[in-house]
Amino acid sequence: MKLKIFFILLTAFQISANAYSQEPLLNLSLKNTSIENVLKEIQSQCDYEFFYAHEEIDSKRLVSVDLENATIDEVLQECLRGSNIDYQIVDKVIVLKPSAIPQIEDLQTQVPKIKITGKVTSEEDGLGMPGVTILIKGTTTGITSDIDGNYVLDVPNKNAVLVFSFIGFQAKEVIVGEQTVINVVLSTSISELDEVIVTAIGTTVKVDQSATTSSVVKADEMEKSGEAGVINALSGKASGVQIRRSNGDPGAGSAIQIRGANTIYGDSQPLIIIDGTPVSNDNIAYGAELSQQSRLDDINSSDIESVQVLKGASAAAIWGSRAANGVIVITTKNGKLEQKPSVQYSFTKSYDMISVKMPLQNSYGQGRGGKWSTSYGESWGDKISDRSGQADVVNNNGAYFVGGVTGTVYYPVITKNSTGAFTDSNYDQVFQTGGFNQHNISITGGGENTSYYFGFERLDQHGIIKNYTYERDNVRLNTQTHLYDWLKFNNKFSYSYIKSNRVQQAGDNTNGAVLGLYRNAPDFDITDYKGQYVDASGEVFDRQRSYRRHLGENINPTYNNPLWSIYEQKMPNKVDHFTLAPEFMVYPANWIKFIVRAGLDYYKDNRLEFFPVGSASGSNANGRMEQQDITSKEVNLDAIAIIDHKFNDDISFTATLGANFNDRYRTIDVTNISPFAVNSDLQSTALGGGSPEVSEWSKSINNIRSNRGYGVFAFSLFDQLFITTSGTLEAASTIKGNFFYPSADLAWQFTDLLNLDFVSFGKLRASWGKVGIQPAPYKFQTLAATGLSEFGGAYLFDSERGSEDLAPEIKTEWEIGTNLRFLKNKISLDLTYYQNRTTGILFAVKTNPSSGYTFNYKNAATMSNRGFEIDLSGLVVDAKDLKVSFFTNFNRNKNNVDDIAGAETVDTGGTSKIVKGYPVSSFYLPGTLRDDNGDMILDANGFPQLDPNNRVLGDPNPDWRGGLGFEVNYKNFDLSVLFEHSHGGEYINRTNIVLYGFGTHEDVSHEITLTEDLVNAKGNIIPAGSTVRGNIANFGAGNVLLDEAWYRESIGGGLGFSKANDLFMDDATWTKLRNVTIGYTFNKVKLSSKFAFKSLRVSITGRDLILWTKVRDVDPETNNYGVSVVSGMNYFNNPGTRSVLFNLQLNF
Amino acid sequence: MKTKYLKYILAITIIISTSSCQKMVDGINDNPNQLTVDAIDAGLFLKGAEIQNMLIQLGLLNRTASFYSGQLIGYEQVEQERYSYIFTDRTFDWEGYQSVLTPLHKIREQKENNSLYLGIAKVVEANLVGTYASLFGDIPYTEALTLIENPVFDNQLNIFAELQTLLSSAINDLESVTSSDLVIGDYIFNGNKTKWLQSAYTLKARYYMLTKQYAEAYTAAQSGISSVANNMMFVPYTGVSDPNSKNTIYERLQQGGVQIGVIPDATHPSYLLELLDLRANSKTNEQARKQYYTINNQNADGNTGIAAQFEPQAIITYQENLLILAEAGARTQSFATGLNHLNTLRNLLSSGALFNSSVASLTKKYDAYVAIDFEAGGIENANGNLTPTRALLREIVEERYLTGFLTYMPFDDTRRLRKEDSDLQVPFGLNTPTQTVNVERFLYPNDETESNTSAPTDPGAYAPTAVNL
Repeated sequence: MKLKIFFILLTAFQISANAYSQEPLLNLSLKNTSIENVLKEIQSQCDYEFFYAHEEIDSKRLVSVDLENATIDEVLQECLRGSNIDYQIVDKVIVLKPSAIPQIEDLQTQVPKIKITGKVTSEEDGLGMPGVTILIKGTTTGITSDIDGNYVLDVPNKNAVLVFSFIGFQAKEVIVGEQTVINVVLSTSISELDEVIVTAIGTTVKVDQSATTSSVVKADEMEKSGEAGVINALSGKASGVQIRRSNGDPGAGSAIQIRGANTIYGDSQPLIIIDGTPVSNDNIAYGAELSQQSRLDDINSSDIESVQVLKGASAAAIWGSRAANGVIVITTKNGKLEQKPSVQYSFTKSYDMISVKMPLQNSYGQGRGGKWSTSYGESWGDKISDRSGQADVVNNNGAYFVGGVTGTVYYPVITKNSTGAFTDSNYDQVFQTGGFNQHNISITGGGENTSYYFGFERLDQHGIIKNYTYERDNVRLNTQTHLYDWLKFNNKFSYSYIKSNRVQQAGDNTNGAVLGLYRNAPDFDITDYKGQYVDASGEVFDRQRSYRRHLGENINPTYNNPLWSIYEQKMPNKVDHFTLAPEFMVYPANWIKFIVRAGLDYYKDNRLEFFPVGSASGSNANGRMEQQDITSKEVNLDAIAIIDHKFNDDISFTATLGANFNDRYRTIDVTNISPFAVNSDLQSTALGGGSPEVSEWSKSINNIRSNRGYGVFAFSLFDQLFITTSGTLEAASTIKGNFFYPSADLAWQFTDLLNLDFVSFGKLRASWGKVGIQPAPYKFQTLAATGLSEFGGAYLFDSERGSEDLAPEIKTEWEIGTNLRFLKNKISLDLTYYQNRTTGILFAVKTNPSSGYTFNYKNAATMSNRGFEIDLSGLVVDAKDLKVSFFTNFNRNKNNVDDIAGAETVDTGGTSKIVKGYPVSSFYLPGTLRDDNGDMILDANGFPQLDPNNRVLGDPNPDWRGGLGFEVNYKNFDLSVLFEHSHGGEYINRTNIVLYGFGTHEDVSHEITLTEDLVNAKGNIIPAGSTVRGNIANFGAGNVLLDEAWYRESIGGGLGFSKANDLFMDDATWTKLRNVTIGYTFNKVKLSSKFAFKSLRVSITGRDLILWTKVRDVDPETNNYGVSVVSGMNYFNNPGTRSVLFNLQLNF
Repeated sequence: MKTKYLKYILAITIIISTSSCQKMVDGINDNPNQLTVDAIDAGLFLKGAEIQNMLIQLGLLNRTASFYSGQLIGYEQVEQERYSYIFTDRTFDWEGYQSVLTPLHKIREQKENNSLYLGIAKVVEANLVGTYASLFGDIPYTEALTLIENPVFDNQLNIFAELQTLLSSAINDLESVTSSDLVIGDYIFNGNKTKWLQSAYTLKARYYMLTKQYAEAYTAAQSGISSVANNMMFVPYTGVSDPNSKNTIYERLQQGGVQIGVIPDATHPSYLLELLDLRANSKTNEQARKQYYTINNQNADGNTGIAAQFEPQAIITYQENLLILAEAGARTQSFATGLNHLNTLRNLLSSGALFNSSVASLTKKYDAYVAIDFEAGGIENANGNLTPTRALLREIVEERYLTGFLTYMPFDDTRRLRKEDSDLQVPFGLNTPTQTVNVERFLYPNDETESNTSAPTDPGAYAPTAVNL
C-alpha cells in the first residue's frame, strides 16, 4: 500500500516541474509590493505553484514581507495577514481562496460550528493515509490529513457533507449528522483516474488526456502468470497483443505481435523500451532445430513496475523507423526518498507437465506389410501380441552390439518372438515433470537525496524433456539522486547471466529427441542407446544404437535414439547481458526541463552445438561442433527538452524536442569443425586434429546507425480538448536520404460538457500516424558469397540481388476510440477501431528463378490490418471484506496481403507463403484435387487424388482473441482467474501426417473387422469378414479402407509436402485457463520479539491447466517456426507445458 | 551560485547535441562481411558454377528421371512418393538459373577476351539449359537473366536451336584459344581445351538426338569425346570428408534410411537389373555390370560400385558419344556403321573401363556382334519380327538404356521413341498398380509460375514436350 502511495506521489512529482527532498526555506524582503509579486518571488525560490481565481482574490493588494529562512507557511501567513485570503498547500500547489464566508443558510440558523476529528486509513493495509484532501462539500473549505492520516476540521452544521479524496482512490462522501469523530476507509479506485502513462520516450502524460491507446500490464498481473519469462507473462492481458510461443522449452523465445503482422522479412517484433532506452529483444535463430531465447526474457520480471504496450502508430511515431511493430515500454521499480529499507523475498516452485501428449501406438512392430523387419523405418509390421513370446531367434555368429547402459548383448534378430512393447517406457525415459525454483530478493528505500531499488533473481529450471536446463541470475540496481534542486541524476544498471542446455527439436534435421521418440518403433527399447558395435571381423566401434540401426552397424543411425539427443548431443549456451542507463534531468527554470539519457545494451551469447561421432544425419555422423558467438551492442543517446507554457487558464502547451543517436553493432562468429579426427566428447577445437580442411570460420558484422530529431507539441484547451502532434526526422545508414514520420491525435473529454449521471467519464479520441521499418543492412549491392566448402571452397553469386533504392517500409495507421467510465468509475470501457497499411514492405522476394536470382531484396509488398479492440473492466462488489472485479479484452484483427510486387505468392519457407489477397503466412500446400464446388475429385477406387498445384489451404491467424479474468479478495484471501481464447484460424499438425506414414500414431493402430468388401488405395479389394489394421472412411464415393496403402504409400501420410494436407487442417480455436491463483496474506507476523515480517503471503498458481481445443495431439500454442511471422504448424515441436506453482512472499 | 552556471552549460550542451545530421550515418552501410561481385575476378566464379551444374545434373532431376524409366526405385518416404508419381508444382526447382547461369553470364561479360573462359562458360550453360529444356519443355531462356521482369517461355524446339548456336559459338571460341588464354578454377578439365571441345560436340550430338535430327547428330558426334579419358565426369572431392561432395547416390544413402536402390523385392522389381539378367547370351555376360550397378541401400559405406563414395559419375561421355554414333549411324549411314560403333562400345565394356576395380574379377563378356545376329532368328532378333536394322537399333537403344544408368539418356530415349519407334522401346513397367501412363515431363516449379506472369498454364506431367509431339 505504502509503495503504491509512493508511486502515485512519484508520478505527481514527475508531472510538476521539480522535485524536492524537503520543504524549501525562503528569503524575502519586499516592501509595499502587490501580493502578486510576492507570489512570483516565492515561485522563483521554490517550485510551488499557485492557484487562485482572479475574481475572488485581490492580488493587487500591497503588503510588506521581510523574512529569512522562512518556511512557506511562515511567508504566506505573514503576507496574507489581515487580508481575507486563506491558503492551502496541496501537493506543492498553493491554493488561494477567500476566507470562508458563512453561507446564507448558516447566517440564518447561526448554529455553532462542529469540530470533527478522525482518521483516514487505506482499506488495503489499514494504515493511515497522509495527504488526503477533506473538503466540506459545496465549499472550498477543507484540510489535508497529517502523516498518520489524522485530521481536525470545523464544519458549520450537521448537514455538512465531508468529501475525502486522494489520487488513485475512490472519493468518499460522509454526512456529518451527529458524529464528531469520522473515521474513513478509502479504497483504491479501479478507474485509474489521474493515472499517467509513459510515452515512448519515457515522459508521462495523464491517461485521460491521451488520445493514443496503450495497454498497461501491471507487475502483480505478470507475477500471477506463473511464467518464467516476461514475454509469455503478457499473454491475454492486453487487447491487440498476441504472444505466440515456440514451445514449452525452458527459456524458449516467443513472438510478440501487436495488431497483426506488419512486415514479412524478420519477425514483426515490437521495439522494446526499458526506462526510456531501447533494449534488444533479439531472437537469433537459424532454423527451428533449437529453441533460442528472446533477449527480453533475460530481465527479471520482478524488477518491472509496469509494462505498457503502445499499439498505434501515433504513439510510436517518435521512434521513427523502428516502431512500426509497436512499442513496449517497460518501467522498472525504484525506491523513494526518506523511506526505510523495505526487503522482500519471494520463492516460487513450479512443477511443469506436458500440456498435450502425443498418442502413440503400442501394438504393431517395426516393418512393412504386416511383416517384422528392421530394414524399414516404419512400424507397419506384425502385431506384437501375435508373436510367440519366446526368445528371439538370433544370429550370434556375426556382428553384435554391447549395450553401454545395461550391458545387454544384441545380435541380429532372425525371427522376432518377443512381445515386449516399449512405447510407454520409452516415453518416460524422454519426458519428466519439469519445473523451476525461483528466488527473488528486492530491497527498496531512500535517504535524504537518494533512493534506490536493488533486485536479485535466481531461476533454476528443468524442462519436461530431460537434461534440458535453463538457469538465470539477475541483478538490478536503480538509483535516483537529487544533486541539486534543479538537477536529478538517475542510473539504472542490470546484469543477467543465462546458462542453458538445450535439446534439439525437429526442424529440418533428424537429430531431435521428439522426432526420434515419435518415430521409434513400439517394439524397440531405447534404453541401450549407446555402446559398442563389434563387426563380423571383431573390430570394435563406439556407436549409437537406434531403432533404424539395431546393432549400431552404421556410423549414421538415420534417426537419433532420443536418449542420444538428450544425453550425448550438447547444445549449451551462455549469455551475459547488461544494460546501463544513466540519465540527467535538469530544471533550469520552471517552464523548461532537459533530460539527457544514455543507454547501453550489451549482450554476448555463446552457443555450442556439439554432435558427437555417431549422431544422425550425413553431416553430423562423423562428428560436428559448431560454436556461435554473438555479441551485440546498442548505444542510444537521447537529449530531450520539455517546455511548458500556459497561455491562460484555458490554454496550455507543452513542447517536447528531442534528438536521438542510435548505433547497433552486432557480430556473429561461427566456427565449425567437422569431421572429428578422434571420437571424443571434449568440446574443443582439438577435435579437428589440426587439419585446416575440417575447420570453417565465418564472421559477420551487422551495424546500423541512425539519428533522429523529433518534436511533440501538445495543446490542452479548456481542460477537455487535448491535441498532440509529433514529427520525427530520421537519417539511417541503411537508407539513402532522410525520412519524416508525422503523427497527430486528438482527445476530447466530452463528459465535462454533457454531465451525464451514469457516465462518470467519457473521452473520444482519434489519432493518425506514420512509422517505418528500416531496411536490413548491406542490401545496396549484389554480393559474392563463399560456399561449397565441401569442395574446398568457391566463390558464388549471392542468391539475393542487391538494390540501391531502398526506402523504409512505411506504416500509416489511424484509429478512433472512446474511453468511458460508468457508475462512479466502477466500470470502465475502452473501444478502439484501427486501420493500418504498410507499404513498401521490405523483404527478399523469392523471385522467379529465370531472373537469375533466387531473391530480390526490395520494397515489395503492401499489407493491411484492420481491427477492433474492446477492454472492459469493473469492480462488481466493493464491500469492506469482499471485493470482486473483472476485466476482459477482445481483439479482432484482419490481415491482408494487398500486393506483392506483381507476384502471386512469395515463399517464406516451409508450409506457409505470402499470398496476394490472403492473410500473411497462409498455409500454401498441396491438397486434394477438387472441382469448382470444392468437392474432391476421387479416383476410380473412391480415394482422393493429389492436386499438383499448391494452393491456400488455411490461415493460422485467429479471427479474434480475447481474455477474461476476475479477481476476488475476501479478507486476506485472494483469488484471480484468467481465461484466454483464440478463435478461428487453422492449425496444421504435420507431425501427425508423418506419424501416420510411419505407422506409430495411435490412430493408425486400429484393428477392424470388415462387414463389407472394401477397396484400399492400391485398388485391392479386401473381402468382408477380414480383420485388418486400418480405418474406414468415406470420401464421397462409398466406404473405402484406409490402410498401409493409404497412409504409407499414398497421400494419406508420411514425409514430404506432397500429401493430402487439407485433410490434416484443424480448426485452431482454443481456450486456455491461463492462470488461476489462490493466495492468503498474513499481516505482521511476529516470529520473535526481534524478528517480524510485515507480511507473508502464500499462494498457489495453476498455469495453462485446462485447454479446450479441436486441435488434436498438440498444444496449438506451439509453433515450429519459433519467433517468426509464420505460425500454426507442428513438426515434431518440443511440446508445450502446463504448471502448478507454489509461491511464498515475505516482506520485512 | 556556481551551480547556476553549470545548469546553463548543461543546457547549451544539450542544445548543441540536438543538431542531428546525415553525415553521422554515411558509410556505415558498406558491407564488412562480403565482397561485391564486381570486386573479384569473374573467373573465380567458374568453379562454383561448374560444380553446381554437375550437382543439379546428378541430383533430384536425375533420380526422378531414373524413377520414371524403370531404373531406380524409391523405397522410402519422399523418394517413394516421387517414385509413386506423387509430385506437385513444388517438387522441383530451377536453382541453376541463379547458381549456374548468373555466374556464367558474369564470366562471359567480364572475360570477353579470353576464348577459353568463353568456350567453357558456353558449354556449361548449354549443358544446364539443355537438361532443363529436355525435362520441362518450354522454359524461359532468351529473356531469362535479363532485367525483363516476366521472361517469356521459349518454345522447346527454339531453345534447342539456340543451344546448337551457342555450342557452335563455344566451339569457335575453343578452337581459337591461344596460350595466353588461361583459366583458374576449372574444376572439370583444369583448362584442357581439347576435352572441352569434344564435350561441346557430344553435347551438340545429344541435343540433335533429342530433336531427332539424326544426321546432324552423327556429324557432331564424329568430333565428340574420343576416349574414356576425355569424359566429362563428376569427380567426388577427396579433400574434405563431407558426404555432400561425394558421389550423389552415396550422399543420398548417407542421409540415412533405405532411400533409393535397384535391388528388386517383391513389390518393386527394377527393370534395369531384370534386363541385365535377360541379356545373357552366347556373346554377352553382364555379371560384372550387374554387380557394378548394385546399390547397397542399407549401408552407404557398403557400396563399392556405381554408388561408392568416390565413384565418378557421368555428365558427358565417350560411351554416350559412341551410342549416338551407333544409333544415328544405323539410322542415317548404314547398318554396318551402326554395328561398328556398337561393337566399339562392347569392346570398351569388356575392357572394364566403364566399371571400377570392385568388379575386376567378375565376368565381362561383350563379344562383337555381327550382322547375322540381327537377322531373323539371330541372337538379337530371335522372334524375327524386326528387320535387321530395327533389331540393331533395338539393341543399341537397349544398350543406351543400360550404359545410360544414372544419366538422362534412358528417360530421354523412352520419351523420344514412344511415338514413332515404339518397337525399339525398352519395355519397363509402371511403378504402381494404379498408374496407367508414363511421365512425359516434369512440372514447372511454382516459384516460377507464380512470380512470372508470362508463365503458361502447366500442361501437366503426361503431355509430351514439343520435341516429342
